[in-house]
Amino acid sequence: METFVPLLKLGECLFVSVPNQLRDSQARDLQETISERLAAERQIRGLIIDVSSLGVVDSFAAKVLGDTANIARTFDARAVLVGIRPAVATTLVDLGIDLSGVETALTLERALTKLRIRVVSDDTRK
Amino acid sequence: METVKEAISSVLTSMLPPSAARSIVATLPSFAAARVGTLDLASTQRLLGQIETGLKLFGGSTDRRALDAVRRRITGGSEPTPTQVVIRVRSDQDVLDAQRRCSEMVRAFFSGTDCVRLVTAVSELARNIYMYAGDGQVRMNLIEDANGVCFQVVAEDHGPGIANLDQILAGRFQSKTGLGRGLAGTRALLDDMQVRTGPGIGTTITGSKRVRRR
Repeated sequence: METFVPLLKLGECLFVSVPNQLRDSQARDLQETISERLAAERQIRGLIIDVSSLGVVDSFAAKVLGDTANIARTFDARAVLVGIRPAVATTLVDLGIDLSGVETALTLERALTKLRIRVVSDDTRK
Repeated sequence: METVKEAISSVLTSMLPPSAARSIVATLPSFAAARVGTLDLASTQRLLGQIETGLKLFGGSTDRRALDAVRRRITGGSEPTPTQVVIRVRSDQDVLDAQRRCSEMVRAFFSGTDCVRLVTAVSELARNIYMYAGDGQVRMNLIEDANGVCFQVVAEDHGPGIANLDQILAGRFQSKTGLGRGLAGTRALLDDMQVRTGPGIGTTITGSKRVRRR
């Protein structure tokens, strides 16, 4: 089954909102779609992954998120996780999952600040 | 025998203004059409939660007496039957089903964070079955006793068994599929967890988490 993944370009940044209840295969598809976009659009410097709809992140989901951040790095883009729920964060710590290789930010604005990306649309640049 | 809905209606009408009682009864879910004494623990708790919200909204009170009276009537005086869910695990979709069913079961009893802990633990156990044994089942139970409610999970498969169990439980083993401490991490999410495994007998993992009575 094809999964529709909202993947938006925001200036020099790619914004992806991870849907809830992804099957393992769909999670891998998402990872592939992101890496294809990063390879195709060279000016992308940042990848913002919105996980606010994820009510549960188990070790597999965490692994996919970590891998995606590593893939972004190979394309010279920084990945930032946004919107992780407090209960999910607590559970990840209990579970002993190490996401220290992945940057996180509390809000989208802070993520953009972290990436030092100013959102300027192509229409107004000139 | 009267239905649960009729029982709730008659209790509330005797304690609240008629319009408030009617408003609360109107919000009840469809399973309230069941006979008195036939609801399981999770459904009973969901109904009571709904009525508690209704009492706050329409009755302007959080009086435990009304809630206790409703509880006695709809359970027919006896303890509600334990809730049990069995899920056959053969695919990644079944892992998601296990997550969803677990979440439905525990959300009326446990705190938000504990719910996420439990759903995550069940997800880990179910995924272990799907990835390493290919086929098995996850059984979940909610049991009520004098001290409160206990959630129990049993994950059972007839796969190859876990070879280096001690290493895994000590958190010293890193699988290629996981990122954390695997079973050791799952154990940390529960109050207790036991593993029985070996070649020929497959793997049975039993875990539980308890919530004290408020």
